[in-house]
Amino acid sequence: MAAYVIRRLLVNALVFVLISIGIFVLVRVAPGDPVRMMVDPEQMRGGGAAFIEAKRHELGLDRSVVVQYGHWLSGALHGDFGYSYVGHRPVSAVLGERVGPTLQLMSAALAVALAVSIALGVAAAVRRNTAVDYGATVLGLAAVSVPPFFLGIVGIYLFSLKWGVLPSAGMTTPGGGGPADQLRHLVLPGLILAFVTAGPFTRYVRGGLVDELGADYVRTAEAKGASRARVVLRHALRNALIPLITVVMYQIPQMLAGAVVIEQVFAWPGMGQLAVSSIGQHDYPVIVGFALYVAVLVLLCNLIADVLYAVVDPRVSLR
Amino acid sequence: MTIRSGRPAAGAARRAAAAVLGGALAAAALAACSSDPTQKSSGGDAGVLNMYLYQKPKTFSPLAPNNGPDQLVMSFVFDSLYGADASYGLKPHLAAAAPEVSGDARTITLKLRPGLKWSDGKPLTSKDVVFTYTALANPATGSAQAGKFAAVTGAKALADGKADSLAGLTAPDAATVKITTTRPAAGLPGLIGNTPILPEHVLGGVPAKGLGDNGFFTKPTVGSGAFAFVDYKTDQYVELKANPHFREPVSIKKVYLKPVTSDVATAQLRTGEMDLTQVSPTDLPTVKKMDGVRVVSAKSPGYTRIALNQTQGRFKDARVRQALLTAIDRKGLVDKVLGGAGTVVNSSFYGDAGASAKEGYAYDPGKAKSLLAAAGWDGSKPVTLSWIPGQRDRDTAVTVIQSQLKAVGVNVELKQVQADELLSSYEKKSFDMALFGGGNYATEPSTVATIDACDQGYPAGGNIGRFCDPKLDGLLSRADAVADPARRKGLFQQAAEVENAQVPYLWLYNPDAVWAFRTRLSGFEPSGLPTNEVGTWDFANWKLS
Repeated sequence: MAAYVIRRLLVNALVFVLISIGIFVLVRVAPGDPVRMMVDPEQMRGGGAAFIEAKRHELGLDRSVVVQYGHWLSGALHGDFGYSYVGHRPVSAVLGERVGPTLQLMSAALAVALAVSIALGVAAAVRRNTAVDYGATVLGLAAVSVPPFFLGIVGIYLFSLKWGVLPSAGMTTPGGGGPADQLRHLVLPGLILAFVTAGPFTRYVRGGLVDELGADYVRTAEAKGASRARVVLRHALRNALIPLITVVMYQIPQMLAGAVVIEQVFAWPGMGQLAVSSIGQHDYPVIVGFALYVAVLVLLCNLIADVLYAVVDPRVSLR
Repeated sequence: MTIRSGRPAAGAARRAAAAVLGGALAAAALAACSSDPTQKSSGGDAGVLNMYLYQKPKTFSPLAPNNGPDQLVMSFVFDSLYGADASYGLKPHLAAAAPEVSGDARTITLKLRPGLKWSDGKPLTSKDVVFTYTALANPATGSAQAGKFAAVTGAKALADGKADSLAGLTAPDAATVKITTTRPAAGLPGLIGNTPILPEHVLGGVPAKGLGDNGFFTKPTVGSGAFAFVDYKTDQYVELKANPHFREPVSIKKVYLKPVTSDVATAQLRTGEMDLTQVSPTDLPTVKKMDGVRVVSAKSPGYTRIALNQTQGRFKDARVRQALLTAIDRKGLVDKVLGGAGTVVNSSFYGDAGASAKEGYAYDPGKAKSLLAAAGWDGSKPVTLSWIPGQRDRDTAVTVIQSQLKAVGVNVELKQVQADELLSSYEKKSFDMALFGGGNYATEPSTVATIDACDQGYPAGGNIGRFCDPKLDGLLSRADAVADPARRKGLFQQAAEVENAQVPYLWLYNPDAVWAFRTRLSGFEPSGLPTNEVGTWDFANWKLS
């Protein structure tokens, strides 16, 4: 397996370089000019054109895309991903402080989503074609159909405005707040992201479990006198959860997309907010940094999915 | 990935996988709970003010291009020689009195108040002012403000790298700053006086080249404003505390400036998480219904107007521009779109200086039609009206304007654009009409030159429409050569008259700045300035119960 992982890592490195070229070119050819955006036309008093030209030169934007990419790549190989035009700080620092909040939001949501979807999926599979099953199906459908921003706005309206039980925005109350305060801020965005994520998970758990419950080994176990609960939870569910690992790993990049929206709605200071504001301000180095971060996440999640699958299911081998 | 059978069960590996997942979940739980337990909640605390920031700040540097949210934060942290009073006249802050301008308007003397101190207790002197103005005038620091100092003696040598100080800027003693200029520049104090003053004892040792990127400007911990900077928690809040060395005692102990969306801000105003926020006139009915919330407004010198591309032959005739202005029911826009919270204006000059702009261009479609006919307007050619969507009053206004112009035979096509697309169309002169906002020419009327003068075409200056009238240019430069305020005003009024007749822009309205606050805050006087320039608040009056 080690050879497989190394081979995959090498291929991923190549893919990463290709993606970086793609992103770099795309960002540059997209309409818009970060320097022109820096100054309000009305503030230009005679020196406007000179300022724009000097700034463009300072940022290297007056050179060809190839030269700019070469410069960026040589920096990136040394761990220097450039300087944010807007934040006036290294891109790695700008991204670095955003990883934590996004990770917090996503991992909390993932934990809740897994717990809920497994419970719901089991209930739906065991009571197939009953109200429980139909209820789970409707909920799952709602989770993938209702846009997260709508849920966010409804959530803020109900829980913050109408009932006043949860804060409407931010990660903490200004000035710190303590663990309880942080948890209160996490509840609403976390649950909404969890709800959106749990929908597909539930379908997978239900489907997998239904298949397993019809398998021969289940009938054998039942014939041997094992209780229904033991058969479902110890035997069938274990096998049914194996495909879920892949689904979870593939779903993580999807979750990040959901988090972008949730972060906007709840003023959560994570990667999503950074991406949206950087794109609006044409902060090229940060956009490239963010896009590559997502690319790494996707490549890594795919690799982990494959490896974990082999680890958990003895019938799988990696070559 | 391939599947084969017969491999022995990998129990250990399975446990490892479970451990990985379990670890991830535990990390999530830990992350959710990590915080600084030494600090406690501040929502609604006495002495702690939560205020809305309408966008995320970028940098707290006066050298950077002006950016509203940055300016708002800086207005708390830094002080300037002059601010603006309620009618936007110069009001001394760090300065002891109004600027002394010599008879030929080539020498300006600025006196500082005695006993001024920085937030770290060090004395604030004229050396700090000289340091700041030199840095601002020097493009090598990354200054986007150098153009404002063009009239100061030695500005060109500094800009060209042939000198490292401004020859025309000196500090004869600790309380005096003396500026000499190469041409008469009576308007200079109004142009530069509201700039934040920087601490020379902190930044004096930093090389001028690239000064603007110095870490100080992300964490400006030494200032002379009413509040001292504590921290900026990225995207969450800017934390400020009272500056004990401010020139007046301030009773509010802490301020949190929170960048959230306007919807969230309005919601938080109701829940008490926000104490003070600026609201859009279209949100007024909602906010007015809230308990424990007061709404106040101030007349603003900021414009919503339409630029006409006067490199196109059809807009060169002043009668066409007059006709377009006459064809729009601007009073109706203010009443219906802004709910009455705004003023119709007829010139870029504000207040007394603009009082002579007598032609009001009252809504009169018949007159508009005859003016267009007289100018030989070709109604078959459509006119594009570009604007950046997203502000409700503007989004509504463009559709009203479209239908009103259609009624007089002007076929308007609406075009939503992004900010950079709009700027690029200015540069390429490819737009027809563009609706935009901003501008403040109230404190120093000569700054109208930036948007009207023949030599200020974008991107050199801010004259987007490329309007040109040498008579207006002449009056403005004559006003700069006169030291006597009354005579200056007279010249500005003549200039306003010319501008009013020529209609370089279609002035639509000045939307009022509307502020809402929880009633536990008292002494708050609203400012109408669009970007909350430094020196517009009377922090000493603000009290929290």
